[in-house]
Amino acid sequence: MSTRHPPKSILLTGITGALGSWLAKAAISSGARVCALVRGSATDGRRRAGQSLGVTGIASTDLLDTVAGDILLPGVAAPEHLPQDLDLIVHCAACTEFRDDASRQTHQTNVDGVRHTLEVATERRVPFVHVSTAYVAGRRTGRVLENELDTEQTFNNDYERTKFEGERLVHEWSRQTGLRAIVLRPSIVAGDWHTGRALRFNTFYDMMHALDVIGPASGERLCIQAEPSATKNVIPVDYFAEVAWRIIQHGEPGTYHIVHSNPITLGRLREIFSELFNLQNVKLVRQSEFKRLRLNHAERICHRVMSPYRPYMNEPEPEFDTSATDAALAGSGVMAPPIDLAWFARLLTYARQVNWHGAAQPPSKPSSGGDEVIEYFETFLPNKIGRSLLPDLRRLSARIGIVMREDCSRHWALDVHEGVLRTISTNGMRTDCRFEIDRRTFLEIVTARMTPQAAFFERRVELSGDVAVGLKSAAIMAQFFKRFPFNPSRS
Amino acid sequence: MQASQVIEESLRLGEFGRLSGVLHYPPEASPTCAVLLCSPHPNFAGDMDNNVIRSLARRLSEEFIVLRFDYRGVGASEIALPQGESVFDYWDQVEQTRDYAGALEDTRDAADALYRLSDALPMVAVGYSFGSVTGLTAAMSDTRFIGAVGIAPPYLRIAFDFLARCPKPCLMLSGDADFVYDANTAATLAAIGGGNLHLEQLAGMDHFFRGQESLLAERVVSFAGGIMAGPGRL
Repeated sequence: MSTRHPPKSILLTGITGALGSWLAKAAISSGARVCALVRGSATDGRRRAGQSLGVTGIASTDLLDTVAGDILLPGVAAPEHLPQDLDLIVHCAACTEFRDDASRQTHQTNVDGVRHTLEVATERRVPFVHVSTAYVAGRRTGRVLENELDTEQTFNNDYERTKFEGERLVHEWSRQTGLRAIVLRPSIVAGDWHTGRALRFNTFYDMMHALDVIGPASGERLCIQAEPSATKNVIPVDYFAEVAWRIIQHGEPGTYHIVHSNPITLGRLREIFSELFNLQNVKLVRQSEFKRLRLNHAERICHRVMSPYRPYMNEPEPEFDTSATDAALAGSGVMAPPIDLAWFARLLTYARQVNWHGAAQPPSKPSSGGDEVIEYFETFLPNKIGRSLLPDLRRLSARIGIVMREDCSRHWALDVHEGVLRTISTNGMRTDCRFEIDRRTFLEIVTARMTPQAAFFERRVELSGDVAVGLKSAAIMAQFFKRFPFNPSRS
Repeated sequence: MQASQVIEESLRLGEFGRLSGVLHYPPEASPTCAVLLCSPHPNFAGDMDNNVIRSLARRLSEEFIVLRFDYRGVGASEIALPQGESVFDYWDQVEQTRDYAGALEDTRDAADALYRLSDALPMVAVGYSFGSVTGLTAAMSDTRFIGAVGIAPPYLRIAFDFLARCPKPCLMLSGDADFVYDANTAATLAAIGGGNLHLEQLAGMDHFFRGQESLLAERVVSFAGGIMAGPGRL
């Protein structure tokens, strides 16, 4: 695998997963043909693969094929159904369950699944890319080198242990067959940095979901068991995919950590979540002190939700060496984006849009049939998330609902907190005020050809709920639309 | 009098021309009265281009000289703010603290300008929503004003007790579906206002009078005309 022979035909496992979908996108975007191994019937598998790819932003492509199969089965699929001109196998499929009762499933997927997929690589004499995890390091602390695997470390859970065993299989396979292997070890991967889109909502999404459900309770204490100085190495999925594909195209065989060079602390995460969910009294409490607390309802919920991740909340993470990755990326200009409030706000917006269950919803393709409205809310306005609507604006906090008169199922809610647009939601978030508007008037307003106030006076907009909040919001949005007019042809 | 014969003139008023306004007048007639229109709160769709203010300006200027203006920070009117404070936040603070000193100063400057521009005609203040606070406050304490009209006065927030024993003709108009109307405040006002204060409720109208601006304007014209005609004609 070198720059002289970038892969053109790959077999991919795990396309319906959090990482495989974006890796497929990276491959297809570079012109490679992806054959995705999918479970179930051929028709259903094709549909699910297409939907997963759609979430990444690729609405359709002729570079995606599917083959019915299962990594839990030896050989994974009927040989005659696999592509004949295979360059490479990329193995992303994994079980990421942290629950103790998922032990058998975790082992079957993360160990047997690797073994079965390696059988195909052996049969076809092709290189193998294995998506492992940085957390094969288990309970290690200090610096973890990319060329280290077994240092007799112990593990926090079956996920780490089985991923370790799966990676070990890959290294052994490479030594025995002489075929090349690339092992990628990502840290914690969350949604796309630009759009907030994701296919899976676990790890800290579980905490975000819990906080979203609990909602802001006026000043009530929320203690969470965690060490504030502990870091969490989080990266966006598009960053993972970009780095991974570069390594695959240009890198040498070996093991690569795909991590953030500046991991966020739990203390900073507390600040971000406090702002995001408008929580006044969140405290991170060390284990010894937490045990002495009498928990309130919200705290019990959070504690239960976070129980699978408890080992990661109290102990420091290791420092992940990235020498090999840095060498592969040298001169590319690729850098991990900032892990900040704005990104988490985008993650939250998307998670709410899909009701937190990762139902694959391809981005709507703008058409001539009124989808400029969708384009506005899904493409244009999300770029303003995390930004103040107007300079120095601080005194507007409101949830503003917008409903399209022609179709009441098309509705959005904007969450503005202290002047900053926090989220855009379509999941029926309770709003302070609601504007009912027709499509033509909406487009005139967002393109700054008409003010919301003028539209209201002409009865082209109706306002319900808290009228005072609605009028204030309209006053602000009038200036916002003037400052950031929407141009559908350029968005 | 045809509305098309009315002239609209943009102007600057106040110290160093800090405020923006529009003067309306019928050039062929000899108005006997000048009307100062006071706008709603800037953070509640309040500026001099508000539907009610514009409709009133159009109709009243067929017979009177009319000045509408923007408060500080609104439209082209200037405002000096500390670094880091937005105009919206300034006016939100005004609403929360009910410190109307700035808005009242703006209203007085507008009144001075109108008095000068109309060659010292007697004035009537007509204020809509928050404008009923600024306009009526200015009118009651200024002998140049001979009367006032408050449209959709925010009874839920302001008691208007400065209208007790109202010294000059004053009309308070509220829609019966106005979200800032408060019957108790209105009743108290009616009891203490004396003979010069007239409270009316307009059936089927809310705070915004959309589509009903003309009806509203006719009532205001009628009242202003009655003030000019003398006692007993209101």
